[in-house]
Amino acid sequence: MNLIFSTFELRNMGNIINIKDITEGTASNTSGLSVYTVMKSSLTLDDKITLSFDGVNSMSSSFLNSSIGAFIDDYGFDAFKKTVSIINYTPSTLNMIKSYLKDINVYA
Amino acid sequence: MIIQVKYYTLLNGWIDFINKNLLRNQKDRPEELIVDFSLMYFIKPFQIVMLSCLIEEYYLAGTKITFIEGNTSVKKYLTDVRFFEYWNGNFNRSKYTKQNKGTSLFLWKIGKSQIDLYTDYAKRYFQDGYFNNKDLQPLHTILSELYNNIFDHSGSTVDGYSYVQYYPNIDSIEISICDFGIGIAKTINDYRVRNGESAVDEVEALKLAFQKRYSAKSMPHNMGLGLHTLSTCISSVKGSVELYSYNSYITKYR
Repeated sequence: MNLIFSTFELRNMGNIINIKDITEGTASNTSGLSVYTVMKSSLTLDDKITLSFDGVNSMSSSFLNSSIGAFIDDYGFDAFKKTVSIINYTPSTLNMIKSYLKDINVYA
Repeated sequence: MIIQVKYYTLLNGWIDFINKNLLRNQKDRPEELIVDFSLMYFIKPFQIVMLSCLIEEYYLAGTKITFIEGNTSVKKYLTDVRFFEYWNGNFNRSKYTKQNKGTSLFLWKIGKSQIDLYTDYAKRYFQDGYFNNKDLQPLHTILSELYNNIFDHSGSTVDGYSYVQYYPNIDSIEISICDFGIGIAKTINDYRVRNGESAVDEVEALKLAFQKRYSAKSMPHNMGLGLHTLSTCISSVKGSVELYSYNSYITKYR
């Protein structure tokens, strides 16, 4: 699990997606879909995507379903691990994402 | 048509009152609905949202809504939250409504496109005004899970209503949300039958709804985490949940 959020990724951050630039809120499916749409359009072969959670303090399961969950649905968890990094997260944001990934059973 | 609102000692009495006054058939809608509060001496947030959904049904069908406000403390309470203005022609029930009651967040007709704005606003409102900037992230999470649940699963005819009240004497926030959807048990049992499983009784269905990873897949993105997240979040703040859906009722306490 540490590999995903490792700061080693900072050397090649690829496209940095600032969540708060895309959507004001992180409560709804709609806002999650907005993030996923940007993630998808940022994704090219060999590229990295970095999600910046600067200013994000809480997220609903619907938001996560429609953003990270949708990415994993479409591309698989291995691609998610290889491609996506997160930065500028608070401890509670990190816990939410970790819990979410555990809850959807993508890692033990 | 007149609806006499009054206090019921037991929840069942109130539920029966609401059920008895539902608009069953749009073709039978009355020209005018008069809601009489003159015998109501105390009103709770859950009653406000259920009444709002009931009134909204009639309003959407084209019925004129008027009120007998009465002379009890309920009149003052409802006047302070501007309840009696809500079904006047141009009143926007989905937008922020400045009201005279600081400890409650305005009665809100839940709008899908405003979930983000409202949940952020609710968190800031209580955090800045009453909780000395203590982080109210659980409030944001709880509200967003509840609102998304309505639009993902309920099929409600009236969207829904939300009311959040802070009680400073007991340092407690009460969130009340109502929709007139098809019901959790029906959603779950329809899903079970479609997938070759037998239907379960309504209380069992409510329990399943809170189970992690149990989803009726009403929308493709549903992962069965919403109500579980809600329950976990409420437990983390030592709160409780009371859920009423059609003929079944469960509570979850810390």
